[in-house]
Amino acid sequence: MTRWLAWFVLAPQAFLLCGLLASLGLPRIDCAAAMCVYLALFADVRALPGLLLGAAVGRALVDEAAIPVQILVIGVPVAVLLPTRPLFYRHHLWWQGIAALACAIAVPKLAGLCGEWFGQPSASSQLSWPTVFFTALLGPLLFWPLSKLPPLRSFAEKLT
Amino acid sequence: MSTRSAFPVGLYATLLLALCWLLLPEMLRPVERGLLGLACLPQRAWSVLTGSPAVAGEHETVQRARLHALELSLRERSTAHDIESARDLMPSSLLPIACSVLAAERRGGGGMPCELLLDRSYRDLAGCVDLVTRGDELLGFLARPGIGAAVDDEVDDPARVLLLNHPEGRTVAASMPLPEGERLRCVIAPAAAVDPAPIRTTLHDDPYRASTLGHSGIEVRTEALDAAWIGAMPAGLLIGRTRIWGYETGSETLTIGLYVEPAVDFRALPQVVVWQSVPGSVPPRLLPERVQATASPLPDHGGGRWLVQAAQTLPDGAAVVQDGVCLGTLRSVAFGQGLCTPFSASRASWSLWLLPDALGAAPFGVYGEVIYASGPSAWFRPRLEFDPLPAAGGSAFAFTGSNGVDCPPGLLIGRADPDLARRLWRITVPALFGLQRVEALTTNLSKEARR
Repeated sequence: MTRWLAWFVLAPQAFLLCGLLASLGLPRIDCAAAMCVYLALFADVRALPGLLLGAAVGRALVDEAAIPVQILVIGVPVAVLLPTRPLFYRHHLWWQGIAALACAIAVPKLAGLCGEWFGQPSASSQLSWPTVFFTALLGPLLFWPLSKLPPLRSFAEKLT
Repeated sequence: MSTRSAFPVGLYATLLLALCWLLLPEMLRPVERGLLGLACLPQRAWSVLTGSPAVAGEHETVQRARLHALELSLRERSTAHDIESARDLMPSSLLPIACSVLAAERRGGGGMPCELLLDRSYRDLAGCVDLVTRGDELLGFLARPGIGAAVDDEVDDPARVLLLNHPEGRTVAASMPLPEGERLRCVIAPAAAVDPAPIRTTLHDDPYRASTLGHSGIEVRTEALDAAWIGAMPAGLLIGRTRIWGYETGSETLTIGLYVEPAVDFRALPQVVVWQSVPGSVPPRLLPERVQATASPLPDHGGGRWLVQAAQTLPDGAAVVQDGVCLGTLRSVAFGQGLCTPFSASRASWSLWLLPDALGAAPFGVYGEVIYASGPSAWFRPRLEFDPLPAAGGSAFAFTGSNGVDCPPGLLIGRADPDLARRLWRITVPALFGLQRVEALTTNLSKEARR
């Protein structure tokens, strides 16, 4: 219960933190793309619905579209990447970087498509190549320390 | 692990739920409000700790006086334009009443909105004939509460206008000039939602000539019938221009249908005119309630969203106004909070009302969306089929148009300069930083009236 409480408190604030750091002059990371990579490669599959909802609430804080659109924007890349999880078994940084790059491109594109289909356009559908670059570069480096901390540690899939 | 990864039932169920959520948004709207409201609480606590909004000074008082003068100018010039050109066509016994359009709703002919919601109630307009005009253009007819499309409306609800493309709208006798000097008479009726134009013509008095019209763009005007009762249609009101729809066969078009493109974009109508047949005082406008609130910027870097906090629940789509200037509209969340997306950060469609600097030019409406923003400047792309750019020319002040019942027309947004090369409007909005004292506008309407 505590881990879920921590997730629903901290995950939305992570989106605002990324924006705050970017406004202070640090490289901008697409928080939704980073979360996609974590959910697809590291998180316990049984916990995915709840984790996805928390991430969607966070993205809805900083984006014009509603929560269900955010669920699709984050959830579809996760659903595509999830079957490839065995390939990432050793969690090489290279693979994580490539996955982050793919997600950083897919998330704005999906936001644009969903916005068009469901009548909820948003400014986040504009692709920013610097953001894609820094997400691919810094995302995997951030996963390592973050995955050792709660609440991500408690949601990580236990390898047998 | 691999089996669960290959077929994650929970994830797929969540995606399916999201699709259902999008199909029935109102059902799960309380859940969304609650989740977002909880997520906003840490920011709310932070904004309380970081200070209080500045109090309006002398500068703001002067600005409000200038703003009031601008709004007055917008109303006066629009009313003069919207009424004067119809005076010669309408019976002299009718008195005009200019009404603001709160919202353009429901998909009708040509996929365009087919109902307008006015800022006066049915009771206020009880002594009016059902004709609704703007300039010399006929737009539609006033609905009657409890009848037809307004069957659920009460007399104190905002009056509804059924536009000419409304499926339950009236047919109108019309005519168009032919090159030989004669007139082709017909009846105009609403087109289907999938048709290429909102209005179609039917029952032509000379079907052969109708099918061999060489070109589109001929003016279609109303035709008076013999009947002379009080609600009779005056002759000469503009309905629109013809549009021939058919197969291209080299230099000619094999006509399948003869449609009419309305003279105005129904989505960009900030004001219309109704005509009072029983003389009486002009009823007051339905004014929105102004709820005091504070707005704190959310550190989202990209758009500059605001967290708005008030002592009461705010409705979705309410305009957020700071010192008389509209910041944007908000999405209501729980605990008296709302998330305001500023005009420049919004990619949703907006209806704007532009007041040109040239004193002789009439104010006009545009409908479109911001496609790009940089700092306080937003590039607004109007829908080109109704592009008024060539006629307008110079700069203008941009006000809100018909964007919903809680975002009334006539709120200043910013300064608009035409970018003629790219056929865009560059709209400069005020840049705001830190905690702000704002007002959220809310119209006191029942749920049924808002439907």
